[in-house]
Amino acid sequence: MRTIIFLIKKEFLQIFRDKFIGKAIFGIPIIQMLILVPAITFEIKSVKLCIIDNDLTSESRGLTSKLDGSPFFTIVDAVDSEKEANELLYDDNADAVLRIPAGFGRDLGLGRPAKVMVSANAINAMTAQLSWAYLSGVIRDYNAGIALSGHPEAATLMTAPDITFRYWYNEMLNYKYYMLPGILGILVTAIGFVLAGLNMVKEKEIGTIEQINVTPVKKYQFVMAKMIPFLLIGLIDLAIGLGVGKLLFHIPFEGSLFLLFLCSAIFLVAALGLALFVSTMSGTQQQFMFVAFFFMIIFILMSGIFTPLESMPVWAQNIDLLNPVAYLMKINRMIMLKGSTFADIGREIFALTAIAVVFTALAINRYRKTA
Amino acid sequence: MKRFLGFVRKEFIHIFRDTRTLVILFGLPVVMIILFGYVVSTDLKNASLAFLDLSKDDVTTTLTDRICSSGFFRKTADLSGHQDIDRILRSGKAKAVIVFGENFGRELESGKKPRISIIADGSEPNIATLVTNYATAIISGFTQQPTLTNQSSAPVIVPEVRMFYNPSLKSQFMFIPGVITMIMILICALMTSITLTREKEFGTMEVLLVSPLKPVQIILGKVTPYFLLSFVNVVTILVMSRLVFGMSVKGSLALLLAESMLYILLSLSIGILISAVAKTMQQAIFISLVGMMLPTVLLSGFIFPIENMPEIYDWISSVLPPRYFIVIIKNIMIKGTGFAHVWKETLVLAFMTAAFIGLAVKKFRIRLQ
Repeated sequence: MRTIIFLIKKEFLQIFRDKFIGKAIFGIPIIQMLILVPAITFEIKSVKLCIIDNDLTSESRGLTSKLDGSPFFTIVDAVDSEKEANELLYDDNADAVLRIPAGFGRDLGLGRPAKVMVSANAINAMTAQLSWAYLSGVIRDYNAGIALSGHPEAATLMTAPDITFRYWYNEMLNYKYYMLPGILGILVTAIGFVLAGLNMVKEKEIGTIEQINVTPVKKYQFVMAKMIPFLLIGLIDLAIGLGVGKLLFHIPFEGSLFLLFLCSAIFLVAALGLALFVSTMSGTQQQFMFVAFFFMIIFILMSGIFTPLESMPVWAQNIDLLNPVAYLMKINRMIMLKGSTFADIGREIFALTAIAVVFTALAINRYRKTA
Repeated sequence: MKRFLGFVRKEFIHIFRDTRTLVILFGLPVVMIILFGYVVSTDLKNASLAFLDLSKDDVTTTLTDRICSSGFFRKTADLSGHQDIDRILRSGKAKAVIVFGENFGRELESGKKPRISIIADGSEPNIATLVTNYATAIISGFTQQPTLTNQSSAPVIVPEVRMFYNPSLKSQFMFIPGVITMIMILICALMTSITLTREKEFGTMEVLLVSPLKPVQIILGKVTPYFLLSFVNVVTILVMSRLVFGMSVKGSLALLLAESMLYILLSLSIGILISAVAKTMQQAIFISLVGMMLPTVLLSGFIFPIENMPEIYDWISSVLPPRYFIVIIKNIMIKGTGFAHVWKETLVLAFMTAAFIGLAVKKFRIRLQ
């Protein structure tokens, strides 16, 4: 035990001897969190809509003003021809173009369906779909208005049930609540993973590991001593991050703080175990870095931080059973926002523990005291 | 010149000697394209739903089937009462609960408005929005069906939509430019900064400095191999996007490649600058990986459009090179625009490259301390 404590002391001295790293360990995650969390949203603030009104009747103006009044649309230049409108799309000065053809008002007046044409810039498919959904929503409202103004034929289209929405745990769909646990998780992972692994390889690269190898330090003691400092640093980073999130972004914290830290500790052991395992197989810091980068990118993209896990094909979801970051994302969000208890996330915790044990065992096993 | 070429050859040998790094260097773009193309998607598929059916009649059963057979949803549970809603959402076994009010079918037939409520798990806001949007669309589509025949005689506005540049709404159009942008900046910056600081840390830089090679030649010699490797990477990604996703370059290929070279140069100059600032490899890696990875992914407009962010991010992201390159590559690849549309962004990138190189030269010490 005493051996481990001495080794840990040595590690801490080495980490904080480097002034830059000492500061960056705590500075980089907090600054990044502050900058990144408010930025990320899938919400559409405003769609730049260009309207070609070839009709110029009170009906077409009615539709235009209805769109203008909607918070989602900003009407940019009214133009007369499709060619001009397409140029606006081409230059990114408009996101969508609505063309109201001549005869629109007359058709509506005669009680016939009237056509409008919408063209949207769909390079970002998701934005295009959402703006299309907003636009058809406004048109649906406008249709309902026509129905109310004494067109029973139109009213028959409206016998839809009364659908109400509720969003639990995050009433206003605040994206900050969603992103903060995720981003914090990734930053903590990145720091622990990179630093712990580099530390080990560095000893190899500059040869100091041989000096440790000739001492009576046991394999598990050495691996533990490499792991514990970064585990502590990760947990401190997490605590600072949570504190900042609470103070500045008013993140709700529904669940048990103890459970969150317990899960994070297990997760960090898994991540650090993997990092040390990779580093036992790499000869240089550069090699380690590339393998680490490779794993991190895959883990993070497949973790469900930006995209729903259920949309992934089944084989990918099976791979995700081995992805510690995916468990972390789920657990963090569930504990923080929904107040999930051990009973709800027990399966995830066991899986994470199993991963942690396997990776650490692999790291201890692969580490050779004899060169 | 001969000395310089010899130095470049030495660097190439260093790189090719390390097969593992090489495999990852070329494997990473391939894996990322596969991930984005086949695995990660922002679409809604198979989202788990729970149903609380208080009327249990034919209409609600058919409607439930209709919702679940859409491919967007799958049913995971039937709840027996309101008290179960919290339990199922909290455990994460359902993304949303759809509640049919009592006497649903009867009310619908008699022309009244029956009640449906959708209770979604707001802890994942984008999924919650998609779930409610899609479910609403399916429900409205279902209940409006009998009146479809009357539609032609009703005075309503019928919108027609055309999706420009990406008619089938593929998400590849967003991520292929993103992958190129991200891989270039990370690999180039990471690799160059590591290889330069490595020489510093091991003291071999001193050996190089006393050699007849000029400092400029040393740096150029270090980055030339990475320049070529990155260029091969860009070409690989373009070929893959063509073969796998059928996404060809609409505009001028030569222009796109030229812009890519500029961008690679820029990324390399960031790497040189990092290595001039960092004293050890650990520091260099920390800056280029931990410091740059998330901002590059999140603030460049690759996944999240910058227009939707709060105003100030327009300013913050304007110092990030990926932002400009994404605009350039999207314009050339997807819209097929010429240089006239991207000269501003190109100028910004060129200016940034010059500034980074200038700074690096100023910071680079050729004397021993």
